[in-house]
Amino acid sequence: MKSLLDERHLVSSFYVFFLIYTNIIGIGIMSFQRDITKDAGYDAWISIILSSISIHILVWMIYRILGIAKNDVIHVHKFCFGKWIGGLFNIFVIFYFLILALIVFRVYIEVVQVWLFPLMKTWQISLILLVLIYYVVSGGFRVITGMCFWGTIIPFIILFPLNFFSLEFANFHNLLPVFNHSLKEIVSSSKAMLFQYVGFETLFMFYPFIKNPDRSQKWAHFGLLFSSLLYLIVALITFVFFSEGQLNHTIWPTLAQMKIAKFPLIERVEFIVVSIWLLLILPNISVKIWAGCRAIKKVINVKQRISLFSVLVLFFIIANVLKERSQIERLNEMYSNIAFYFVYLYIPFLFLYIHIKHKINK
Amino acid sequence: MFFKKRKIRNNKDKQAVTENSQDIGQLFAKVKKSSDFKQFPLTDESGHLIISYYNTLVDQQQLQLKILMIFRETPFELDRLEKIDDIKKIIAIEDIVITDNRNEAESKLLKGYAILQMKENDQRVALILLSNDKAGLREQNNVENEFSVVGPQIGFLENIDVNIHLLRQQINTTDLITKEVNIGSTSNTRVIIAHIDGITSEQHVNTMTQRLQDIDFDVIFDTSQLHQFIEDNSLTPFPLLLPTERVDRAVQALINGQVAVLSSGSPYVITGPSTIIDYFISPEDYFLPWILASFFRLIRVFSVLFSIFGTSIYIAVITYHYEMIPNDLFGSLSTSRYNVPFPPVLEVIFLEFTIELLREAGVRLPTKVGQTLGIVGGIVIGQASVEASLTSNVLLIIVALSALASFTTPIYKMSNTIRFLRFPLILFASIWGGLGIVIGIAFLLIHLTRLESLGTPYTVPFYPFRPEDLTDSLIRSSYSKTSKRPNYLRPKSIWRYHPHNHKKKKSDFDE
Repeated sequence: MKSLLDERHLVSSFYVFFLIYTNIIGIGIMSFQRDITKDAGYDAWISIILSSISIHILVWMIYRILGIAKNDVIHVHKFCFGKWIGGLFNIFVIFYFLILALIVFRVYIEVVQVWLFPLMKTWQISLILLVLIYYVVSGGFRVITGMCFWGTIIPFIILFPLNFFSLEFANFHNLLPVFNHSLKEIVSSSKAMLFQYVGFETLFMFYPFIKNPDRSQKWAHFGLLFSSLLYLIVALITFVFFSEGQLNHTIWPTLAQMKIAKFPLIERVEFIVVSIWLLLILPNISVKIWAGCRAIKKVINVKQRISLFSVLVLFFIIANVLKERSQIERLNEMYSNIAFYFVYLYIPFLFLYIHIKHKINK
Repeated sequence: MFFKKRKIRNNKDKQAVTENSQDIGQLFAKVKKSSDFKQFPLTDESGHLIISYYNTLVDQQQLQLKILMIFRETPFELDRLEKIDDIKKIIAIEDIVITDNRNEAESKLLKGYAILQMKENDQRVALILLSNDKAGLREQNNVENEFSVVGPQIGFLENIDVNIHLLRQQINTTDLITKEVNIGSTSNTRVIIAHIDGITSEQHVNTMTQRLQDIDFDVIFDTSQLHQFIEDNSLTPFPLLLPTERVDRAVQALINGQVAVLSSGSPYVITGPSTIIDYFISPEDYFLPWILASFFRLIRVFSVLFSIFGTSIYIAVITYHYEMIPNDLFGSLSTSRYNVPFPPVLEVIFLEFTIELLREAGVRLPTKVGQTLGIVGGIVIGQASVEASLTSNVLLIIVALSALASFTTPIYKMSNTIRFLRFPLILFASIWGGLGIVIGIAFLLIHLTRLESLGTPYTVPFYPFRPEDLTDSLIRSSYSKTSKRPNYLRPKSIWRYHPHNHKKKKSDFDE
């Protein structure tokens, strides 16, 4: 297949693994345990597996959709729905990616303010983070992928082992009895889990940037599998470490369980964890902003440099306006509803629609 | 783009000027103003067989033996020389050029050729090589700055021909191609691009040649200047091409499929495309057993990391995250800082500045004085500042260690970079603590990912990840594993040598 872009801007299919991983493991892994146990209790690990399977199917669908179009979702919309209705969908896509990036951005700032510097002003930290994001995104997709690579490797090597220190105080009876919840409860917990996977849809935008995109599908599934395994392991450790009642009062269980680690030279590792976490958050936000700006470019033909700058200025303003945790949570809730419909209804719909349209055109 | 266009226009102007003054007579009128220019007839007949040269550029002995002897000592039969072209039969010098091109005459005259004319105002002249290019250059070529204990101690010299000779001694094949370009509008320096045919990718050679030819500058003193003109991105503290004064290192680079650039008058050869790991590789690694070599290479990498982050971590921990210090350690840390009246940042900047001062002064001073200064400065000032409670003991240890650690990189340019990188990180750490350090790391990572050397990513083989090229990166694997050239250089032939591949039979202990 001939690619639409210059070979220099492409990344090899192997990196789809890292792109998917960093897009999924964002801010969610710090706090997802409480949300999923609300309904399903400590059976929630089943819902992690269930939602992971559903996402696998969706990724397969996305590959089928893009395989037909051999281009990104903007093109698909124009092809399917014409210029005007397709354009409307495209504007939705732009906001979809940008708001997701905004939520991650704002929540990370909150984590920093709670765990590291309670007195730090939002504008200070958001300013420096936005400068970083500008530096990444303006480097183009190759640099973003590079940051995804480093953002996967470095935090994983340093942070993942810290989870296991809490096993010293593990109580494996917490997990029993298994299957103690109804199917409905598990499904609604899976719905809560879905939001942790949101972000993999950026695949819609970066698909044309992959060398041999057809061969990259296995890496996408592999990245998805890896991230759901990570979620599963972290969740299981949390379940055996916290009792259910305790977990209800813990906003960031992952951070709390990593805190247990102690070394001869270092105590209180949460300072390191929150700091190093930035390396994973940064590509996570960058890919989404890049996807948004790329979509803006394709829809209304604005240079990415300009759109990126204006988006970052907007981010700065909004991040400073959203002061209360309740506001952030409301935005989060609203967004997760939209994301649910987008992912579970719209993607299958698009999948069917493009297949029918493709058949008719033949 | 704008600059490029202007440069092209400049070149056109230059051509226009030279075309107007083709005349050899005009050239002589100009050069006669210099006192070291000599012009006289070889025979007693005036206005006939006139030789002209710069007395300071030619070898007097050769002039006497090869030219004056023929024309002056024995009675010379003039009819043997009817045309200027016949001069080659009479004078026993290899490099004689017959030309009527004034520009060629001028440039050759300045390179130590003598001009011979049949008659005054003759346009067609013979240019005879009499140059004395060894004069004024140092003879001794020991390696001085990239010293190694094991292995050859031969370095490059200011004399470019000797340098090529040294390369050819090791790369003993006709595939070693040297391409010459003259750079510098005033110095007209000979610059040679060397590569191995059939190994080096054409693309690298072409990029390098193209970039060198595009240089518009007056005097080229050193390859490190060229380096600044041709690197992909000048907005970076990192060296994007590798300068070396070691012959073995340059040969290794060429053999792997890199391009080398030599410049007349410079004992440093720059090789490229280079990657960040190249700066942590010492030629000594290849002379030691691979296990030791790998261990030392890892130590080098860790010491560089320590050197960059040591003091900033100290600041972050002491200023913001003192909870991180375990109880047992806290006592000794706090007693050492008990009397220090400054915030950690000032303390660190004071000590780092002292070290930089010592280092900078040590470089400028003559060797023997420099050594004493290092000891006096390091021990006395350090000890005194602790006793005066300007700094804490612990910090003194960290700063001294990180200064020491920055010297472990085999390439001087990289150790300069590491020296520099510390300061922004100190700043970040003093503002945002641990998060600031990670922000610094993120900046560094993004910057490194964005860098390219001759169009090849700087962080290869890590990103873009090439597992097959990892054999000689952080770890120097045994020679049976490093038989392939690194893939990222896109070499035309991948095998360097073929290791004996007799598979060891997995036999039981005593059979």
